Parts: sequence; structure tokens; C-alpha cells
Amino acid sequence: MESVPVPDASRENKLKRWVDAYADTLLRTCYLCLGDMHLAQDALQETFLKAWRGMDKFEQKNVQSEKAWLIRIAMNVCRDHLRSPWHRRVDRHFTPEDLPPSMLAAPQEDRDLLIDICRLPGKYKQVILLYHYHKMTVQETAAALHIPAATAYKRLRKGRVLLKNQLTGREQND
Amino acid sequence: MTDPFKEKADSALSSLHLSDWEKHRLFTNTMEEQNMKKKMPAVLIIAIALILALGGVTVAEKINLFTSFSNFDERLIEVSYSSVLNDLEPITVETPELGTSVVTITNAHFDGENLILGYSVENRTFAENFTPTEEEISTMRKVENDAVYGFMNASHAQDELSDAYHRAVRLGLSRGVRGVSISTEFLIFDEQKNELSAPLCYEFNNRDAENVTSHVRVHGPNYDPLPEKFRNADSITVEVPIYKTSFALWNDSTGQYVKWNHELLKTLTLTIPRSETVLPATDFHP
Repeated sequence: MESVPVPDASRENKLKRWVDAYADTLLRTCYLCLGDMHLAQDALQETFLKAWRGMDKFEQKNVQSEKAWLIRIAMNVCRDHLRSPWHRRVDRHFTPEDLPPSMLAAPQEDRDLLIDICRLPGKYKQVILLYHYHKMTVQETAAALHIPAATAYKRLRKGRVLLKNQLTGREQND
Repeated sequence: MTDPFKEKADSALSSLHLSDWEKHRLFTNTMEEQNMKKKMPAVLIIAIALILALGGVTVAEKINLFTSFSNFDERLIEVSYSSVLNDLEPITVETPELGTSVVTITNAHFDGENLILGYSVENRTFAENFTPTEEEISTMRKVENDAVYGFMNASHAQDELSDAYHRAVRLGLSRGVRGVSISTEFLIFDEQKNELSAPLCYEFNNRDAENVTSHVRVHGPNYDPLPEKFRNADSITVEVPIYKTSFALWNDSTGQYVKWNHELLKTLTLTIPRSETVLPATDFHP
């Protein structure tokens, strides 16, 4: 459950509040995008640095848009890394052995979903994460990724097919 | 309406969260990085004179060792970003026994009172069982006291060799081990390029992976102060020779015999500018 943040005067207090409130969910997002703990931690740091620099331009309308803004930054940071020459040279096929030991305690079914998500091609993974994990609408997902809503919806359908039976409930109601 | 996707994903990711300390570090790193980037155009970062014997250097991913070792010394967090040597390439050395080894200096901090360096060594040591001939024993030095000698063991296999040798020494049994290890020194020079007697320092060590070690070396007033001439110096020059250290240890009923040889492979010279952050005193005493 998210608590409603108390407005603060100073930028530093705002950054601290963002770290406290959103660092965990952003770290998980970065890990799902990149499939590597160290890269995810670097991306998380880069996300907050960009957020800090862009804080003055951000006009807060409500809590959801604040979180959505940070998630958008994180996804862009991860996307930039995936486009880097290093990442293109390195074989990054995700395997169960890539899971950190701390995740091995989770139920097998849940770990399987995690592996399937990490194996998704980037453009499908992004829409799946924004729509199903972060509960954004198709329009919000499209805005976060700077793509038309129709493209977001196509990628969402394709991503669901690739994930096969892992998605139920919300899919059936859409 | 439940969404099993998010439930399952969060279940699998439930161990992925930041502690309060890690969140604090994330916050302070963001502030430190932003402040560092603002000051960079006005600061002479690091002048590097690289003296290579042969060969080139390889590029490897760097870890910020000041961040990694902050559990040993919390002050390292304050300068973890300002001390990072982004432009310093790792040093590759070649030996017949090890093949390719890599020395990476990741961090350097100097503030007039403290000189702290972070470095790692990949493919650190080669070691094997050893039974010397009489002629070989004659070239080794006999240990005249009760000291039990060892080597820089950096893997599980080397731990076993080391433990077996130490047991043999304690029990007066015949056992030997020999090998090579990549080692470094940090030599301090003044503006006239005169080498100074290096103050005593202490070092935190970690084994990151099999045969990969990382270290943070600390010179500070809590142990042995830097020479007075560095109190107000704008920079400090540090020479880093990298050696292949060959070692041979043998114990039998007549005593313990040891032999070391240092072969200089490469030398790196760093000029580290004075940081605006002066680290507070620490209570740590090695």
C-alpha cells in the first residue's frame, strides 16, 4: 500500500522521499529489464540522478504521475543500456542460473514467470512491465515509451502470446 | 479483480529490496555525483603517466571499491564517487605461470591527511605442491624463529594448499608449496620526485571470486600520519610497481625454508589531486 507523500519544501527532502517510496519498485523494474543485478543497481542510481536533475521541470499533479515519471526515467535508462555497444556484443540470453541466490526461495512457478519476463524481447518486455506490473493503462504505457497507443497495444498482445499461460485475470477482462 | 502476474512477479522479486542503509547510500551517491559533476570543469582530475614495459591494457568493468568496502570504513561512502578513477585503464600483465592477470586501481582519495586507494587483482596467484631437491633447498633461506610463512592464497584450492602447509609446519612434517603471485606497492614521491618513506598503512581485503581479490589501502593519521609536507599539498604522486612475486616454501624435520623473488613487470604513476572533502578522524586502529 502506498502512503500519500507529504509535500516538502526542499529538493533534497523530495529526493529522499522518492528514494524511500520508490527505490524498491524501480530496482525491480530495472532488474526485469536488464536481467542482471549489478546493471540494475547502476541503472537505479542513474535513474535517481536523472530525476534529481529534472526535478525542477517536473510538475506534480498527483502521486500516480510522480511514480509514473520515475518509472519512465528508469525504463529509458534501461533502454539506453540495452542499446549500448557493450550490450550488443555480449550474449545476454537469460538462464535460470542468472537468478540471484536470494530469489531461489520463491515458488518455482513464480521463478518461471520471472525467467520468462527476463527472456522477452525488449520492446515487448517494456509494455508488459508497464501494463501488467505497474498497472498503467495502454495510453499511459504508450506515453511512457513515446510510442503510439496502437503500437503499445500490438506489442502488448504479442508479449502476452510470448508469455503464454502466465497471464490470466486482467487479460481475460480486457 | 486479482492480477496474478503482479503477485507472481512480486513473489519472485520479494528478496529484491534495499535496506535503509542502501537507500541512504543511493541518496548520498546521487548528491555526491551531482556535486562532482558540477566541480569537474574547474578541477584538475588526475594526471596519469603510464609507463609500460610491453603490451597494452584491457578494458574491464570497474566496481567502486570504496562503496564495496564502506562496511569496513563508513567514511569511504562520502568520497566514493569523487574518488573514482573513470579514465584509468586496468593494467594487464603476462606471466608464464598465470597467463594474463589484471590490476585495476578503482579509487584514489587524497585530502592532505588521508591517502586511500582501492584496487583489485584478477588472476592473482598460482600455487602447487612442491618437493625441492637438495640443491634447491640450498638456495632457500632457513627460518630461524617460530614464524610460519604463507602466500597470498586467493582460491579454495590455494586455501587447501596453504592449510596443509601450515599443518605440516606445526607438526614438523615434510611439505612444500611454490608458485607466483601478482603483487603491488604504492610508493609516495614528493614534488622533486624523491621517494619518501611510506608511512605505515593498513589494508582491508576481500576475495571477490576465485583468484580475484580486492583491497582498500588506508594511510591516515589514526595509524601513521602522512609526511608533514603533504598537509597543504595540492596533489600527491604515487608510483605503483606491479611485481611477479615467486615464492617457495618447504618444511621438513630440519626446519622451515623460504624463498621469494620479485620481478618488476610494469609501473604506473598516478598524480592524485587534493580532494575538497577532508575525511573526519576514525577510531579504527589496526
